[in-house]
Amino acid sequence: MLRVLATVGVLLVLSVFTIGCDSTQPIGAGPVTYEVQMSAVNVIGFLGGQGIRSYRVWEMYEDNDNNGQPDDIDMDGVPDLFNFCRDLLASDTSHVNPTSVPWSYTVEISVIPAGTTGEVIVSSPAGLTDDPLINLSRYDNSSRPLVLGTSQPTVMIDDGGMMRTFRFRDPLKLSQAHTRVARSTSNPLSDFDPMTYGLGNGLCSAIDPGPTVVDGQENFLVDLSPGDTIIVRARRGAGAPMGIETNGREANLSGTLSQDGLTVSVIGSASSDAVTGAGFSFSFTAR
Amino acid sequence: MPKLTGYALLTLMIVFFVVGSAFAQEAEGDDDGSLFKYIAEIEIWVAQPTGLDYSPATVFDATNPFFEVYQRPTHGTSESFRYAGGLEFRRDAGALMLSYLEHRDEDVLLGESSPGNYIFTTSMASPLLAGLNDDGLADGYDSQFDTTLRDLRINYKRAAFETNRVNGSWWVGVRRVAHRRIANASYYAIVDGLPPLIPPLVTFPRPDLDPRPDVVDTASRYSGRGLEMGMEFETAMLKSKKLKLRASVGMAFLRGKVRSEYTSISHAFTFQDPLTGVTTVMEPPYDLFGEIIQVSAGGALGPAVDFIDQITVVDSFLDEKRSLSGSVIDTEVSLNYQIHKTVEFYGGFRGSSYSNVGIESRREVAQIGNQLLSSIASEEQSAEYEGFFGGVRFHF
Repeated sequence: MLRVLATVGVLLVLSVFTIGCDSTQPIGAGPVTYEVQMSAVNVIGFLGGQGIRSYRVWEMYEDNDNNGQPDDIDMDGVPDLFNFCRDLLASDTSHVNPTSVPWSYTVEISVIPAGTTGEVIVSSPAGLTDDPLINLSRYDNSSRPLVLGTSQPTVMIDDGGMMRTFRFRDPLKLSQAHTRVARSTSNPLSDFDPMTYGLGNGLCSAIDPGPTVVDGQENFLVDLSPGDTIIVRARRGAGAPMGIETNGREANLSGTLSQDGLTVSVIGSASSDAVTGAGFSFSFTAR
Repeated sequence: MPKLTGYALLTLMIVFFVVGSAFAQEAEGDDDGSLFKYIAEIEIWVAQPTGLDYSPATVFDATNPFFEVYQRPTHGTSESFRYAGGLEFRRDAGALMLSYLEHRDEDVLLGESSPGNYIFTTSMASPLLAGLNDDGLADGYDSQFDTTLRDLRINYKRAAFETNRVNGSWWVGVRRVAHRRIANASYYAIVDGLPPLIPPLVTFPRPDLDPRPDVVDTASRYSGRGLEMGMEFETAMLKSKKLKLRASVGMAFLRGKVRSEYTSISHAFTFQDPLTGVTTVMEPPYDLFGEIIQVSAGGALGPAVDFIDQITVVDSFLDEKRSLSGSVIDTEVSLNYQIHKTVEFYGGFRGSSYSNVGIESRREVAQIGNQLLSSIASEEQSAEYEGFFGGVRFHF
């Protein structure tokens, strides 16, 4: 019996040294939201008249019935608002602060799920032809009267020989009025005189040239699980945005990736040269 | 007249020796009416292969170029069946046994990725044009390994000595071993970092320019045969002698041939100059992808990417019928319990080491001056299997 016990004991000791167990700890963390911030902005000081031609735009309306509300000129049931544009280069630059001008760009965001090698596009390239990202919000937040010499709340505009009176909407807040780069390719008052009101000072098109971009930035939210890789590819527009005339100065395109407001370090380049058509790409793998 | 091989002659010699031995003892008396009993065994061996030395990649430390960590797959245990049958001759005349074992270690996977970090070396790939940047580095890889062992044994075993505490026996025989190693690997450029091919540079996507992975397929098929011999020791654990402890050690020397196959597929970008029509292989960092160039003699401009293509480069070779001498060492310890005069259960631990039963071939390229010298490097491979086994043995 002693030999049996000794043998069993030896075998047990051998088992300890020969039996192993491999295990892989499961990934327990859930997805985390990351924010991609794209920016294609050129800060222009307008010093010496150099810079980008852009426009400050005010909203105005007709109030022929003097009820204090915009009239429905085209009888479509919706009160009509028009834009009044002012060419910044023609304005008194001493009143104009350095401004940011957004640039058109294409961005493609894709994610490679953890453990795979294939990309899943989560944001298709922003089209440059259909929806150029050239909107911007206020470029000047200083409080200033309307730039027509006086702070008059109305303006007379010649519409093919007929003078029409427009009121500025809430003139006390003109300085807070949003500014657009207007695409004045048509006369908003008359289809028969399309070129009268092109780009320049005066009544301009109310056409919204694209999606709203606050301060020239576009934000994308992407949920990443541990091990997921996000790839951001971006390329500047082929030319200047419509409504903007460059004078040899162009914007560079840049992007940042952040989590809870903190910028994370990425692999690759996150900004482009200030050259037409330049691009960049960067990636980040969530841990 | 059929040709008699050396092994057939050896088998015949063993048979004559056994039968002759049995007849000789039969002449001495103590006959129970038959010359032998049949033995049949079926056994399951849960073995884990080690020492296969598959290594699809190393991890490259960019901060210390002289420090690399080999990545190797983990081979788990897999069960295999061993079948044996033979004759046990009367009056301690020995036993003639034939056994067959097949162990499959298949679909062993190893893959890693660190998108954008090119830290994995393309160890198995042909060095020429390996990796997106032709530097033999990838940011991810997948690999798969299949290993198969087939072991056929014919041996004769007979008692050598007997004492009060332990009995000893020896065996000799022939052995045929087939060992197959198949390794595949794919090396990726998951995040290529190339200039983005999106509008306005290109109007339509160019998936044909997504870097394709480098793919490597290798195979080694070994077949060898040779003599084996060994010793077994047995001691009774109970007075009834129903429970016995057995330990054995054996070795075999194999003479065989191995066939190795190697195929490595890499890729390269080419640029056809629109003005001259000359096509060249592009070199990293591929800035041309994002550039606007003159595309016609008239001065028209266009994206250079319109003249870029991705080509496939195949490096393949076959090494057939290469001689390779191998060896096998077996060690085993087991407990055997005879619950009936015809039935015996047994179980224990076995380790088998197969040396030089495969080769791993890879392409090597050396640069001397402006000359690239290509060669094939081969390395003998071994395999060890160890694990617990259990089975049942019938005597009838």
